[in-house]
Amino acid sequence: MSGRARSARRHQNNQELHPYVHGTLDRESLESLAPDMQVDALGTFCPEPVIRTQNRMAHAKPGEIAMLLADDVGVEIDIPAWCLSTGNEYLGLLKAEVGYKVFVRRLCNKRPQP
Amino acid sequence: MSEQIRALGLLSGGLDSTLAARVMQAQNVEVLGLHFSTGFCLADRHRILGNRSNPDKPYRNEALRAGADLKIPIEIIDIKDEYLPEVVLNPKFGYGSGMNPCIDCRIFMLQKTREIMEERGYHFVFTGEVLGQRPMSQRRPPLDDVAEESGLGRLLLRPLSARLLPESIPEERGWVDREKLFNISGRSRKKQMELANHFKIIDYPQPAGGCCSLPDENYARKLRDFLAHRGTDVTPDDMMLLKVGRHFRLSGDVKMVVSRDQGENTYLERFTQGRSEVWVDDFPSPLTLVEGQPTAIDLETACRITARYSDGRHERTVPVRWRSGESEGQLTVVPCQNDTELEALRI
Ligand code: SF4
Repeated sequence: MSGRARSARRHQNNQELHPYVHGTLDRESLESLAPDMQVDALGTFCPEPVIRTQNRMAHAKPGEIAMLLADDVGVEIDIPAWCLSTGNEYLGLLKAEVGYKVFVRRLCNKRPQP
Repeated sequence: MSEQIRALGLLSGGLDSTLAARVMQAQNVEVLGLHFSTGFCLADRHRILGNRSNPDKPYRNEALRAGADLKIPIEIIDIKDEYLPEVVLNPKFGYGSGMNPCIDCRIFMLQKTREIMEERGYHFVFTGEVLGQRPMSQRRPPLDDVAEESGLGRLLLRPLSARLLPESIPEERGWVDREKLFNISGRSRKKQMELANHFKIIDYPQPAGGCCSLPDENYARKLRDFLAHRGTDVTPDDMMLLKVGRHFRLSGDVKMVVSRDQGENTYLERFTQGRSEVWVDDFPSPLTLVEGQPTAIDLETACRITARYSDGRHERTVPVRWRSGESEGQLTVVPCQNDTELEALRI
């Protein structure tokens, strides 16, 4: 066996996800969602997925749903935290073929929105 | 009805900036936390390498965590493109222990913050700076320089040390009550911890480490070498590669990066495109990436150094594999045992 092959990838997509923060929708509902916009942050790391989500959501209308594609494992805590702080709704996260799909709903809120 | 006072705060997510924001909330100030992404943050490195002390938990972004805890909206401001040329390369106030231009960095961030304050009609800006806490940027003269050069002047409030500093406009105009601000100074964090207890803030990062790579001397050496050989045309991948591994310069345009452990192997595997790879098949081994156009001698050196850091280092010879674009091959080499040679090449 190759020496290099022995090095396990730490953040392979099949690692167990730990539900630090639960989204408001269950898996079935997430799977049937039709997002209004897609944010591609594959291959980027903190804080880039949040920056892209934030910039895209700044132009979203209340109620619209964004789906973030990212393979930075930290999105599972960063996006819920960002939603909590900005008053957006964290709907949940699904494992995708590559990385994760993270769903966020723009809420009508009074707080300043980037 | 009295006007709602609104302030922008620089929020790193560390204890001081979290407390400063909490102190403002306690005075009924509406706060928007700004967090600047410079491209030199260590978060991306932490994310790929994983959390070594708790592998089940990814590293969190502390600014977002603080925003979620305090229910303060956080906006991340991307300054990556301007930061290297405008701040890191020619700092007016010089560098700290590494290549960290802390005073210029604060000025730049606060200039950006002032622009946002003016555009969006915020009343003032605050930071978690504590008088005398950091040798370079938080002595009294630099604090004054930062306020002056950022254009904020007396619109910049440092709630944790405010009572040791001249009165700011937010205090003078009664937007905040000076009597309820603090007189913290120095490097001890005792008072901040008492204040955290008072506000029931229990979850905050320890001060050690920091999240900026620029103060680190090893990083600074690699960055200087990069700039000297490649100029300022830097890609995000270049920046990320400087954050891990042992770096060796083989010639003017050829450099190699050798991973130090399994986590770094995984990290480097993300950056193989456009770089040659070197590794050992027969023993657990680092992954080495070679940048530039290596000559046959460079490639042999890369193989010898890679063998040296593999578990085959004590063998007389080690077969080492390499791949460069479409070409692949194997060289059987004597692992590099000569520390003087190694140190001469090390960046
Ligand atoms: S440590 Fe880095 S981010 Fe912090 S002030 Fe210094 S240069 Fe800026």
